[in-house]
Amino acid sequence: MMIFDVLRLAGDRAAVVRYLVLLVVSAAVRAGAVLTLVPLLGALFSAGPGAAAGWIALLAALVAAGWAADRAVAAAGFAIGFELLSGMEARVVDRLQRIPLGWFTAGRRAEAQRALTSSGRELCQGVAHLLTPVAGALITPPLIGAGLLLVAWPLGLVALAAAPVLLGAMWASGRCLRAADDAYTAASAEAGQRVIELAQAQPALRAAGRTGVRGTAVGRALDRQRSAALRLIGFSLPGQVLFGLATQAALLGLVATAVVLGVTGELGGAQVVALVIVAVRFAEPFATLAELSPAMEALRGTLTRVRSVLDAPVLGADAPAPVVPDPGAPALELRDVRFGHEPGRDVLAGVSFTVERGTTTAIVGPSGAGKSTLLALVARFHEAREGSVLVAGHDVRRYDPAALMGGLGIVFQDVYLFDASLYDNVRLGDPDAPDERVREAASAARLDEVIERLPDGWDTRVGERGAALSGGERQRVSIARALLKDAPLLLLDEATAALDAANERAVVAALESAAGRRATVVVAHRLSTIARADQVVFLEDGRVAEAGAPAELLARGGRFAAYWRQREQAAAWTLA
Amino acid sequence: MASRGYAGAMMKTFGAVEHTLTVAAVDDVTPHYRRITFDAPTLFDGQPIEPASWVRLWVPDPRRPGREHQRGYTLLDPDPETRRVSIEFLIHEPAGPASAWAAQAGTGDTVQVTRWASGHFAPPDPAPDGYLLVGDAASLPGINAILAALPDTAEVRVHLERHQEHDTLIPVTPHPRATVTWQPATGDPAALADAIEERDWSNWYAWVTAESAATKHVRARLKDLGFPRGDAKARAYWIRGQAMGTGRDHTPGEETPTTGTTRNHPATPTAAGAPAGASAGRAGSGGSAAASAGWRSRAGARLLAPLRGRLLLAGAFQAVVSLVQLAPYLLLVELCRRLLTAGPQAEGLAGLGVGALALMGGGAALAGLLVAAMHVLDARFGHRVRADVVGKLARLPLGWFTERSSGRVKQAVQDDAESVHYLVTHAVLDVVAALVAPLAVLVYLFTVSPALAAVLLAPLLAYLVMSARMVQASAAELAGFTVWERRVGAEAVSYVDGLTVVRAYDAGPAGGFRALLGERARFLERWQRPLVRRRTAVDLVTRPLTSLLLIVVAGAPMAAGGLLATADLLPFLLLGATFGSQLLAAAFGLGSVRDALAAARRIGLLLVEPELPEPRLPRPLPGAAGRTVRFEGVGFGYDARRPVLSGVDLEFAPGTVTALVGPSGAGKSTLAALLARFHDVDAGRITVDGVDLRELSQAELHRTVGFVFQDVSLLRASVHDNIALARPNASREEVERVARAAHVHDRIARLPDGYDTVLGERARLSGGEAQRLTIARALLADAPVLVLDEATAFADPESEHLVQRAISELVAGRTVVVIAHRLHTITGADAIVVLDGGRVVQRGTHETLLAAPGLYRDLWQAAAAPLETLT
Repeated sequence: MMIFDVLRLAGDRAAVVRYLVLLVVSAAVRAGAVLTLVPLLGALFSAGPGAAAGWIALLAALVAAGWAADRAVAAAGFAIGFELLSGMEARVVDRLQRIPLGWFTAGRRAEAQRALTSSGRELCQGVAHLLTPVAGALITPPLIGAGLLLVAWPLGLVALAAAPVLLGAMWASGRCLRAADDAYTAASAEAGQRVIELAQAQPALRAAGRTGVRGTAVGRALDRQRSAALRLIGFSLPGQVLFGLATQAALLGLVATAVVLGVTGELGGAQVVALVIVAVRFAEPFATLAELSPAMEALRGTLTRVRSVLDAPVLGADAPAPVVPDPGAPALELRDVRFGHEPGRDVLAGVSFTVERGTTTAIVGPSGAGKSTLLALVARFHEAREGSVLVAGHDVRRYDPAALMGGLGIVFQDVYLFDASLYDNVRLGDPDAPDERVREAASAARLDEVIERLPDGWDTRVGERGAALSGGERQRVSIARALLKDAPLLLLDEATAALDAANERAVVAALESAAGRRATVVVAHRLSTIARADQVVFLEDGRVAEAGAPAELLARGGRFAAYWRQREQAAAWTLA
Repeated sequence: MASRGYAGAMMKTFGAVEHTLTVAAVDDVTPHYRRITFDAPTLFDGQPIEPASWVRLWVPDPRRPGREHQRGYTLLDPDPETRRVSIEFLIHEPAGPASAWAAQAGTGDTVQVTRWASGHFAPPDPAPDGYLLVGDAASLPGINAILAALPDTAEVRVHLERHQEHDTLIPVTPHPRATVTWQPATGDPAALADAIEERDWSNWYAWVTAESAATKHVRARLKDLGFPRGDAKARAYWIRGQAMGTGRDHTPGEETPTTGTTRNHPATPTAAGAPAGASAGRAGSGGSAAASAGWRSRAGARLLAPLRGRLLLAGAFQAVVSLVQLAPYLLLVELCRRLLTAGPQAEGLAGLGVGALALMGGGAALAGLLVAAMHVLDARFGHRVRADVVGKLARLPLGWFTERSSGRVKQAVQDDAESVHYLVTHAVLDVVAALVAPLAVLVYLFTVSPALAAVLLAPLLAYLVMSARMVQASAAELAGFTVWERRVGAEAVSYVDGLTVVRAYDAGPAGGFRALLGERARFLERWQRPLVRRRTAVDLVTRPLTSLLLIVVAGAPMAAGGLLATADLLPFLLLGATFGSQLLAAAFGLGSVRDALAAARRIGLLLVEPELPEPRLPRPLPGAAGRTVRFEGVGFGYDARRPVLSGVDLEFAPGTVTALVGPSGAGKSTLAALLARFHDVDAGRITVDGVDLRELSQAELHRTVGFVFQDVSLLRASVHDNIALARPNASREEVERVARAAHVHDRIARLPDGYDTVLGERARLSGGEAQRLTIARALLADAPVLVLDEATAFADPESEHLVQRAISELVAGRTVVVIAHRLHTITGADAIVVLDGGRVVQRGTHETLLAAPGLYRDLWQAAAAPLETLT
């Protein structure tokens, strides 16, 4: 039951129990009020208004009690809602911190973003505005049915039997409509995709004179969509008619039962009328449920999103007691590391190499060789399937995550800046560093030129995702941040386009300045970077094809040497 | 407190919040135009003050002591820092209450205002071609505020009626593209309307706030000139000869005492968010339909026009279906009547049952029929709309296809088309059903007992009042909510995208983002918590049980008193408890209709985008091997006032490579785009072998001029079809030949199905591979003139040399124009054209240009791109 799934997200068990108890009380009071109609109307219609006065007073009392109960339910529901509102998104953030990055496909990314932005609000609204009426509408009819058993048991039986039938019809209707919607959306997406492609390929298509709908891929997709839309009728029709028909049939059955009870002489005319009216009230909550079902669908979507994040796998913590870096061990060692984003397709198929302290290793190779993945494994964004990644003598899995991160400087291609001042963004590298060091790091990363140019200097707000800065400027912030952090192992993914040649040289020099103290692993594209490395690891198809000092590899005349020549040719190429 | 009459009571009921303004300064701008600056300590806490927001000012009525009376005034120069705001008053004789109050106001005086149901001016979206503002001195504060809010690029006409000599002294907010005309009042109410010239006002937006009779005339005039209703906002500000005094009365509108009049509308029209659909729904009504055919705001109406009749018919049919579905309940009422009068042994009970069964079956059958019919209608209409979009795409200039416009196409054919689908198949029927059933019940109940039916309206009224008060109380938070949503949304996107870095520096962004989420949650809670009780109360008044209790409590005494037969309670008990909540549900259904109409308008707007003119009689190119391209005095700008290129004269000879060089923004890419007729030139002409590009048929143009740009677009089709895009009949041998030449054949051979591999599903290509595939495509197309963006070579360092070799293959023997990003790659070009600020500043070869001082030499030295070598 979705209701319980939502409530399970709430931490305060006592509040949930209280809410559920109040829900039942409120529904019982409501059922009682409806059942009061039987004697009330019976008296009213057989003996006149005077005779019904007592019952009217009771109805008024029950309606008032129902208000009080509903008010308490609403308060309890909002209490749970507000707890979800303030707590849910923080829980999603916590979980996101520990999920392996490989989990994030484009679709999951979008789901996670939506879970972050609106799950709390949607769940809060869901509990307060949706679960309360839905639960009420679910509980009340059986209670009325049970009450009717005491008044006129055949009618009670019919009512109790009708409830699941109506729910079933509603479910079936919903399924049909959802199936229709899904089919429509799929067909529409397919046709839409074709039209968008068509827009992108206009020049070529115009040259070929193939821009219409007749006989083209687009035309076929549109035709398919038209027939898909017509086929929907098969789903839509029962979806839209079934539930209404079931409600009316149930009502008819209840009324017929009451009338038969009258005809057989068990009940008087006034009593039959009273029961007919109660029967109408009995059917009412189902209409409410049907009205709320689209909103319930939306809530189900929210729930699925939240659950998909909260139930995602997290990077495990292996060691009972986290280890501390071993100052004598190599900065980084990979031992037969195997890893793939999907089973059976390894990106890294047994990689081993060692990075000594204070040295620079360049990872080189064609695109798709697994270079960036390798860095991600060291930072433990993913978990190696086999083999081990050792940082300062210990497997990364044995570190406390914060301690591991504390020992790494990371400059990757996707630069994340948060919407604060430039200063705050650099300062992130070491929140305790004196101003002077922040400035040094900035000037080493050539960020000082940027700061001078900006009217607000250090205080410039970088905007959302650093939008106020260019790609190269963002990269420099990221480098300054890593320099300030001054971690013993620097992981650098060379951004191919973001830095121009002059800046690149300065940055490389800055990174080298700590050579001896710091080990660097750089995914390198530029010949100058590769040439300066102590060691080159040439990756191809997920394996180390060659490794050694650059000059040595070049002399060997193998894969690296061929790669190097191609790069040199490319650099010297002229168009004409 | 002074009495504020009916209007005041209504506002109070609906939760109007009052603010006290204290006069801080009085400034007589002209002898009869006074600007008063107020301290407004509480005004800024409420809903945000937008341009041309206005307030209702409560001023004492000098002629009727003890009464106050309201008038709308525009808020000027709101300053949240100092919490001050100004209002400008026209001082006139004889004076209306507001004018009289302003005339004697001094520092320290106070006045009460409320912003209840007050609007503001929001520029329509999409932006109109121009703004026509019509008014007089009384409405000038509002017009001034609008002028200040309009973008500098908008064309504006201001027509003002001069009623007094001094009127023209009142300053009008300067606007770079505004023309202001003062039209002397002649006593003829049509004078102002006649002053509006006859011209093509298509896609203008009109705002009319003049004297009542003049406004009426202007409104009629605008209708004649083709203004659709949604694009001409007209509201009278004052009424000549009415209210205060006689003779030339300049009392700003509606200053009549407020008792009993329902005309207490805001004095400023609410232009904001005029639902586009409102007018779209009345497509083609009246004689102005033809005149307004070219209006963008009619785009949605035009799109839906073929559906309109059928939707109306379907609505009517649905109304019948709803009534048929209601009928069994009437039979139920009849059944109960008979049971009461004749007891359970009454005659014809079975007959009623059969009747009910028949009606139910009939209702379901009719409903099913209607649903099926609507789906057929929708399938046809949807197909036609998509086909129209596809056809339209083929006629748009290539320059139109930017990333943003691709988004529009996507939106139109997917999301918007789905909204329209929902409109046709569900929304219209749902709304009609939701309205007809409860209204029919209401009418029925009124025929049974008007008094008891009226009692049932009480919860409905209570609901309306309570929710209006709630909305009023949330005005400020509602604005804050939008801001929060945008902010958290953007942060969440960057948070998840930047998760790698977030983890590396956990304390920072994560902490910051978490704090942001917490703050937002607290904001929502601060807002919602006080509303919980109200919300619950609103919920409870519309409960069926509440209505039922009302029926019994009110009905029983009525029956006892003989005001109605006891049996007449039956219809109420059976039908009266739920119609209120049903009616409220209908309001929600209208939301999706509005969305769909907006969607229809977006699709319609796409279909009216200006097209590339096709020559009526295309000229063929003379048969020749190479093509010479000539730019003659070419000028072009995306925006008429900012030319990107001017006075460009160039010639590109067959078999030569010409490189375009210059700083970013110099116009290199634009020049190249003009050559492929992405846009048409504003001045001069571009010819291929002497034939103007505009005289070529599209097919010939694109066969002649090919291009390879940075953004690679591969279709989800086979590799073969992707390469053969421009020549669908090419044989496999030809395709393979060009793939080899583009150095991509080996890669294709390694794909699962070789050339038949469908791209995108199982096979993904790297950036460099995709580029080589497009080069193969260009090789096969074999266009004699080629435009090349050399940045191509940057995408994929590892396969850069292969891309380069493919390019070398491609350029051989053609007329090549290359946009150069790295100077050293074009040192061997036959000609180098240096552009700066949209003009050709230098031309020559690498050697000649380097030999002389100039931009090229500067650029070369700045790049100082030394070849990287292993040292």
